Amino acid sequence: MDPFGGAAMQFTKLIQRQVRDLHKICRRKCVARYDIEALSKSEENCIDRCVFKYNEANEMLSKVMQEEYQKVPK
Amino acid sequence: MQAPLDPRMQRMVMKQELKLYNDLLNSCFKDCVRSLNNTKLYKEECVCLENCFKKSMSSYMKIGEAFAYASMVKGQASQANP
Repeated sequence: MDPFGGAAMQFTKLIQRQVRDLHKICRRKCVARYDIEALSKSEENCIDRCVFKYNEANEMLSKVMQEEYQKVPK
Repeated sequence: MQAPLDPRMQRMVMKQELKLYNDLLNSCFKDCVRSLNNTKLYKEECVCLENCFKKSMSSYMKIGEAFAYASMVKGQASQANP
């Protein structure tokens, strides 16, 4: 039995959730036209940028979150 | 200051906090990052994200306090008028 099964499962769930959130947000921001079925180049680029920016925001806000936690009296 | 929680409660609290973080990240990103012209965050966007996050955390705490207070008031009222 895999001793890390639990952790790997949790990690997978986390990644899946993040991808789902990214899809929800970036699709709304980037994909507006539904008259063509294929993604246009600009829509693809927009999604790339959106993902990069989201990751940057995530890194920044997780630091802010940690700072907030250090302020709270234990 | 805090009473020690049993492990199950601790896990629940942690899960709740992670969920809160995630919700705030998503909603602040949606509100603050408007343009997707390049791959880096602008300075204004960074400031907006940080303020949005901190303010949302404060309002979340405030709602918890207000809710607890309102529940207490309601409890006292129902005791007074059984």
